[in-house]
Amino acid sequence: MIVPEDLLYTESHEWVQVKGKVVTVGVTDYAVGELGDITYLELPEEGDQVAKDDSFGVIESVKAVSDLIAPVSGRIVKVNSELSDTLDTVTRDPYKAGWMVQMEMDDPSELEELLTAAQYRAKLEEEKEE
Amino acid sequence: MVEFAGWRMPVYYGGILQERNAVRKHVGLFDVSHMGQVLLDGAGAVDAADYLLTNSVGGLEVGQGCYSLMCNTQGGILDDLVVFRKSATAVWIVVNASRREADVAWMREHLRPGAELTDASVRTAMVAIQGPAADRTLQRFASASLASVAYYHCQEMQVAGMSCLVSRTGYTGEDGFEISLAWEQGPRFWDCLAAATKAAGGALCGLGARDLLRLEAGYPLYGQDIDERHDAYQAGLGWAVRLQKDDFLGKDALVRLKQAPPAQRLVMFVLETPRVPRPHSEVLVDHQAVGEVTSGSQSPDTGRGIGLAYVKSDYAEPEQRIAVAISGRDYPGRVIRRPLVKGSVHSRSG
Repeated sequence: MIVPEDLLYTESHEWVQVKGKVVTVGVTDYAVGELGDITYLELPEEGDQVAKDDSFGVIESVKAVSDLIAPVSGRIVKVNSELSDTLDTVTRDPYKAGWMVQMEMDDPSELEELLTAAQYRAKLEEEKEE
Repeated sequence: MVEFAGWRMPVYYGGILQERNAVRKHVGLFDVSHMGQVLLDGAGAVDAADYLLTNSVGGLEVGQGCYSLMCNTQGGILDDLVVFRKSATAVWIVVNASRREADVAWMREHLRPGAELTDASVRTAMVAIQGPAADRTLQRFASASLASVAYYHCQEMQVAGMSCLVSRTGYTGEDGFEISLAWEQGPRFWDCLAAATKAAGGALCGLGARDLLRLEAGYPLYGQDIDERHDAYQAGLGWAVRLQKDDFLGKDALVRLKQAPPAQRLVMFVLETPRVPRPHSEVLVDHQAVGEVTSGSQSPDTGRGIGLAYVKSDYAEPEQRIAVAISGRDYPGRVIRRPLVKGSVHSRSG
């Protein structure tokens, strides 16, 4: 299970890369493993405003449909619109080419509520035991 | 691995899509040992089977089988299954794993004299090999010529040196076989066929591929598309009911049900969206609810959502435009004639 050290994570299996006031968001290796072949992806538009813990899109596979949950509140400044044409990019490379949106944060202190790589790994261990 | 009717089974080995493609293009191998196996033996075995089931067992030749339903006295479907006439006095019935205990209890309760019932499920392993290359992949290990085993027929033979009952049947819409053998020999048998399948460019297949393949072929899944609340005519399975037979369980009710056209019917549909329609999603015509989805997936060939649904009979004809509600939005589509994918089973069955 790949869990890059330099990222932050949500309880709903999104990853967050922080660069100043902007964060890049995608879904984790664990999430794509659970989903299987991805059949559909819906992403927001540039300029959309999203609140922390609200849905900013949908990812779907034959097995399941999942909301993409915003890790922080902010404005969508960039969307990886190429992804819809090659959905398996998300499966193959969820942390780099599979990035989904970039957001400008309203309140960087919200980052403190996210999980570190170690905390996320611990969460995955717990979920495995269930 | 997931829990399925009391068994632990893989959803996939490598991936649902690659396994489905392997079956459609070459060959795939399924461990279906979870299925229930019921034997009826004795001078009254065929009559007993004819009383329990809707299709004609007495009309089968030795070695021949058919798809049938087993119904309760109101004509509700207790299970869908395959029944074979092994000899004049032996009948073999393969039932859904999820219904095995209920089926066996019902059968014992309604067993006509002259027949002995054995639930052989836990001592029988079963493997399915499916796909256009299934015949030639299996033939290398089979002691008899598979070409002489016609569609929906069975034959006892040695396969990989082990005593097996081989039937030309399956749940994928492709040509293929289902092979039953003693439980203890299962693992060794599996290893042998798994190696051969992979060497032939095929794949080991889990529940996910199994479900996608059967849906593309338009086959219902018991517990999802058919159950006790539905009858054969709603489900489009009237062809598996022989009302001309002597009395059988559910006959009176089915005679009455056949006289009136069903109010709702199970149909297959395709959507314009890639999104997957989920069970219990509403089916709409002109924004009015006319039915409910029972099964759904995405077609690998078209990349569009597909599924089965019960809809009011007025809207059940092929080409009827419908919409399906997914996550609060309505997605357009249309009813189609089954199957979506016409696989190699159609060239075999003639």
